[in-house]
Amino acid sequence: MKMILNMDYVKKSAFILTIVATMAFISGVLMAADLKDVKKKGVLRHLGIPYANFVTGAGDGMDIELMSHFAKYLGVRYEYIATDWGDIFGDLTGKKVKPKGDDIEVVAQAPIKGDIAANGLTVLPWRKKAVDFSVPTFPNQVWLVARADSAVKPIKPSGNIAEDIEAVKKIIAGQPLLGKTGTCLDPSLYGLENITDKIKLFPGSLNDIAPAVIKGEADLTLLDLPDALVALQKWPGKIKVIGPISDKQDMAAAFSKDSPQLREAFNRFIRKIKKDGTYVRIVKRYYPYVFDYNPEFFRGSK
Amino acid sequence: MRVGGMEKTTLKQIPAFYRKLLILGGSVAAVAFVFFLLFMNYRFAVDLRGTNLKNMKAETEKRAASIGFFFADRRDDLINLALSREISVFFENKALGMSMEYGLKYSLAPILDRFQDLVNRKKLGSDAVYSRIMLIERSGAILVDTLTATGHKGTREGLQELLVPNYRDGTILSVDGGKEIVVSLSYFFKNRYDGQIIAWIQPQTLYKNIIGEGGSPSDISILITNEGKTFQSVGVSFPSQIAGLPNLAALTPGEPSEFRDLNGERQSWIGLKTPINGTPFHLLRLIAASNVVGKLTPQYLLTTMGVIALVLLGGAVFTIILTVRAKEALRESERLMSEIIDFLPDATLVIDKEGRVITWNRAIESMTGVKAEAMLGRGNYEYALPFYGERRPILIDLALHPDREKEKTYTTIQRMGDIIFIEGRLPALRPGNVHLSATASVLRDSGGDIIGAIECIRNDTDRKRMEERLQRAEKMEALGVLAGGVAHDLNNVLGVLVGYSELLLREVPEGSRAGRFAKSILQGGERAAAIIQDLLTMARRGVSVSETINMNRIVSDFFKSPEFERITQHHPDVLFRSQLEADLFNIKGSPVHLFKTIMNLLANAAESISGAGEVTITTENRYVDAPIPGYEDTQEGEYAVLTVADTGAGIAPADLERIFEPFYTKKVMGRSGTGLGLAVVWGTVKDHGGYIDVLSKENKGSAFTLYFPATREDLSKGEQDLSPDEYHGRGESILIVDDVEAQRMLAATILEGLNYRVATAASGEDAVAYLRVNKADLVVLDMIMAPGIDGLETYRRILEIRPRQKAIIVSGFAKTDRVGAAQKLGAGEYVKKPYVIEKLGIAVRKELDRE
Repeated sequence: MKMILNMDYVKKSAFILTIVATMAFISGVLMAADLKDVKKKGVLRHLGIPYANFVTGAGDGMDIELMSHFAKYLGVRYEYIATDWGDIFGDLTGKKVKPKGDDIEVVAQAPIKGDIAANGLTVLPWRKKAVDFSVPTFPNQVWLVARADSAVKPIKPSGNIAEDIEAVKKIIAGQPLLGKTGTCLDPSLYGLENITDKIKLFPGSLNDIAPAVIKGEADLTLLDLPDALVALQKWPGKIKVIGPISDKQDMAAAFSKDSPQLREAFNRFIRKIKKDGTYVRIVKRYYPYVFDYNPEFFRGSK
Repeated sequence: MRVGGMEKTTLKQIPAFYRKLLILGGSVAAVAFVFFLLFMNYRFAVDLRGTNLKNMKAETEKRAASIGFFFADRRDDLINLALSREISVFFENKALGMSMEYGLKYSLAPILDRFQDLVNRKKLGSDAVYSRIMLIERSGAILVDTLTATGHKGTREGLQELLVPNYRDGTILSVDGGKEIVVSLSYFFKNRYDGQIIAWIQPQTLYKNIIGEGGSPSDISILITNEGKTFQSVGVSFPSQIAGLPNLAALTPGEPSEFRDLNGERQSWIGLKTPINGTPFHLLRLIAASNVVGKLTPQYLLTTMGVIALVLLGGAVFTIILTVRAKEALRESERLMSEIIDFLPDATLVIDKEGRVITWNRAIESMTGVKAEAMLGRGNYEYALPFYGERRPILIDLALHPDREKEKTYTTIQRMGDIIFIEGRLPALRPGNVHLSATASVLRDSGGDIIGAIECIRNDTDRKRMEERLQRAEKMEALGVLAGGVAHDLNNVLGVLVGYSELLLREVPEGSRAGRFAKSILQGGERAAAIIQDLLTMARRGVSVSETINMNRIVSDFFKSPEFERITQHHPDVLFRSQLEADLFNIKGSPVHLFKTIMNLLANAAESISGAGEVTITTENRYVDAPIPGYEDTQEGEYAVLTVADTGAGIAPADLERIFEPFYTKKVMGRSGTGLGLAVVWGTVKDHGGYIDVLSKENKGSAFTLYFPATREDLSKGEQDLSPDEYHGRGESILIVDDVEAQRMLAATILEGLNYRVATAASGEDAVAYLRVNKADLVVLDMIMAPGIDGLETYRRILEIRPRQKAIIVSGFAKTDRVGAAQKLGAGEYVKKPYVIEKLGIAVRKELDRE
């Protein structure tokens, strides 16, 4: 008797196999690595964007050092993966998102390129929707910064941040303001679009905002604390801090929601280096003056 | 004294007045020099004090300048801080209106870094200069504080008063009651006073590295400032040593002041206050005065040294006085020693190491005839000239420079360590033929080093002569004993010969041949007996010196004697003279022996003359009041002196010493007698207690002078000759006691021939035994009997049994003391053997007839 191939069966099998393979591929592509994957692969991929002294762009920075130590902590190799503000979460989670108030909108799928994102990432409500954050790694606040010769005068602190914020908003009212979407400097995060219609979104790097103000591209800009401290240090007498536009914020490392173990491992790592002094040493190297400015954040760290 | 060919004047050569003047002048100069030194020392001390104070001041000012520079640097530090970008940024940001909450505070961090860098960097050595730097806002708010930034709590009190806009250039202050030193600089931002930069200086750094550098408990430097009216220390507390300081305001800055009895202690301090430029401070330096000006002030030093100098000078004067006195005492001692040596009885010579005479005493002056002045200081064996007539080493030189080989050439030299002894005759030394014994030795100082030599010389010519005479006398005595012994034995033999020949002559007819033979035998025996007598005389055992005689008579008798006749016949060309003192002293002696002495002397004198010549015999009285040295020394006393002088050939000096020895003769034996003539003379003179002196010169003649002790007794009556009938016996009994049988027989025969009844005993014991049971009218007792008891003991024992026993003593020897003792017991005559019938008969008869 002759065996006759059942072509239908073959086709079905191939199809199923293809689907499975594709799904496997997709899952491999679409699913971020968790701790065991990182260990299995033997490399920790750090997604970073040159910003202030978190990632200086010269190969060092506070977050680069933290991540390097974390990789060592895990026993894996460290690898830096450059990204930008628009792609960072997509590179981390596989989903490219855009903020929509406190929520997000997935705009596309993207290949996962990294295991952890850290470059002075402020913990924002919408970002929490996209990623999971570690325990805070740095204090932050968004300030209104003006050029030194601007007519805008810094507020007199009232001792109440909310009141101070309101005072600042009054100053902003109707004034041209520089900001940057997708970051903590997005004016919409603070409802500033309702105060002034002269918002200008900066297209360049966050590091270039202060120089742009100094140049006169704008009188006012939003700057977060670290960047403001750096700018004050770099261009003393050129800019002035008017006041806060946000409450105190935290910066932290971001993880895919598929990497809980990795995040937990990082949290353990942060707690460890806060105890053994490594964390403070690293922070001092890049932000030596932040301790005086925000001592309560670093209380408990050696 | 010559030195280098020039005469060098020593102190001793300077006249005493000028010497004292010189010493006085030198002393005054020395004292003046001492006080000059004291004054110069005082001046030096004063200058040194001034210099030290100047040095102290300069050093302090230098230190103050260093402190000033230090503070100037501190001001510069703050000025530099004020000019720093960090502070200006803050104030710029502040001027922009930034609040501390929002950004401005961040500007303080670089300032803190800057301040902290200064605190860490600024050091003196390893010590931090600053303890704290602060930036204070005009409002008084502390903007930056290095102390609180490190977690330390710093004081905030008193900061307000440091906000002084006038401190534009930086002001150095002390705060907190002087405990802290701060530099305060007013900060101006855009010409507006905006705050103060204040830096706290570590006082201990300043004190350790600058203020108190090289300090010690006796050298204290401290910053002071006046708070109101009183000064207070800055940075440290006042050390306890200076806690009781007086008001330092009284100190003139830059002028050292002395604090005495500070704080109740006895230490003095010198304080110097020097302003620190650019500060309100002074540097107060306190140094123990002893470190700067010494423990003694110049005045005190002068006084002390003056006293010491006076004490030293006084001591020196005292020492000089003691030294002078010691020298005087030494000189006196030396003088005394010199006098002692000078008056030593022995001739003494002392030379130094170089052989120069340093002592020449009186005795050696007398010995040599050379005065000390002529000898002192002389060398080159000058001292040998008087002794030897030539310059040559003498004994003292052998002592100084021992030469064993040379010593061996001397026969009489003896050495005991350093001492060397010699004796001998020095013909060259006057009066000639002097016998000297000398002892020499080196002289050593206290260290044992030889410094010279001394020789003591004694003229013992007399002693030597006496020694020789003694030796001669002893020799003569020995010879006499020998001769006596021989004579005694011969005498016994001759006694038999003579006795029996005499008996024989009586028995044979006169003129017969046998009679001639017997006569010849008798004459020969008598001659032999004469010789023996001479021997005995020489042995001094045959002389009886109990008779008082006059030498003149004996001389006269001799001149009439056949013996003189024979001499003159033998020497017809010799003229014999006599010079006899009329009242010559009598002497006690034996005429026979003296006769023989004269005979021997005259015979010798005649025989010494060949051809014509003279022999003179002289007698004289002589009183010797001091010993006369001569052939032998004649002692003091009265003497009858007999001299026989001739003009003969003389006696050679070598023979002179021996002429009295028996048989020492140059004459032809047989012709001139027995060879014992002078020996007999010697023996006779000695038996008479006299002395002989002989002077003789060859070819000139000789003179024999005999000294006989004089007696004041009258002459003895001479013995009368008796006929044989007068001494015949009447049949009395006689016991003959003699240990020699022949003598016993002879005596028995003689006495029996004289009509006595004779018994004999061969020993004293036998005689005693015989007389116990027998009687004897007389005992003829030989004195010398051996073995057994002698005649004296025999007679003593006889007297015990026969208390009135008569006896006579017979013996061949001279009368001895024992004979005398027997006579004292009661014995009668002493009869000398050989027996002569007459003498024996007379003695027996005399004793028997004695009541």
